[in-house]
Amino acid sequence: MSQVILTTIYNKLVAVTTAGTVYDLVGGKIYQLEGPQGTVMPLLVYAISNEDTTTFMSSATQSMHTLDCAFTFYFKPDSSVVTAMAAEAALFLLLHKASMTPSDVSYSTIESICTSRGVPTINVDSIVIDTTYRIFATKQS
Amino acid sequence: MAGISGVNGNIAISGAIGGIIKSWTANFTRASTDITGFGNATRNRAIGIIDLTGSMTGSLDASTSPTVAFTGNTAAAAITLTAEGGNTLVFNAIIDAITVGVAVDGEATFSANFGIASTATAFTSAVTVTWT
Repeated sequence: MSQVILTTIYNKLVAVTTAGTVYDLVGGKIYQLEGPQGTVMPLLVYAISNEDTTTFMSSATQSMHTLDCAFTFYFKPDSSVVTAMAAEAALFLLLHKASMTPSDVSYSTIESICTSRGVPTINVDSIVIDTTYRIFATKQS
Repeated sequence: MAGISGVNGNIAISGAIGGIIKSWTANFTRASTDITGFGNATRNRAIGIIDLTGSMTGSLDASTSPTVAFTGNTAAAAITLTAEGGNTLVFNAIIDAITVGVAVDGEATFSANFGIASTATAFTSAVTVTWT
């Protein structure tokens, strides 16, 4: 797993901030692993949940990283489920079958596909949607 | 004496393979003919011709067609199987099968089978084994 991949995902999430984008619908509150204490919802937290590295025989150093990246939306319980699902849909539009520009040239390609869009659930004091994407990154150096 | 891990393994054939390889196998077999006769206490067998076949697996290469080794090598070509530096098997072979697979959830696989193709009159001439 590489910081380049995480940075690339973050760059993709914050690249467009216009109305209706993921960034806009969570008010720009996008965090890795966990949000700061006291952060007001809505917010989006993402974390790598699984990682696999494949190495190839070659004169050059080549490898492919396969990651599962879990995104979790948190919305206030008094907000509309439709609003939460709109944010999830915006993420799907952004990352499903997406190609990203790696933040470092040591990576050739970074692509993603949705493996689970998840369903909204009430989690005591918030509306939560868990959704998972698989990230593929090829590295050659 | 030290074990070999395969980390520095490699495979090469004249011309391009058409895939990025992560593993190879080589399978040595030899025919044997049962010549057991009356009076033998156990089976008796006569030795036959040695065969050498193998396979390689990996991923598709964005810059090289997966069919290049299949259609490009119309005659036997030297293939080099490297376990690690200084430990290699070299022989003439033809690639007799390739398999290409692509899945939407990420895998783009390439595999190929090869078999020895040699007119040498001795095994040591047909297969150059370097094991240091």
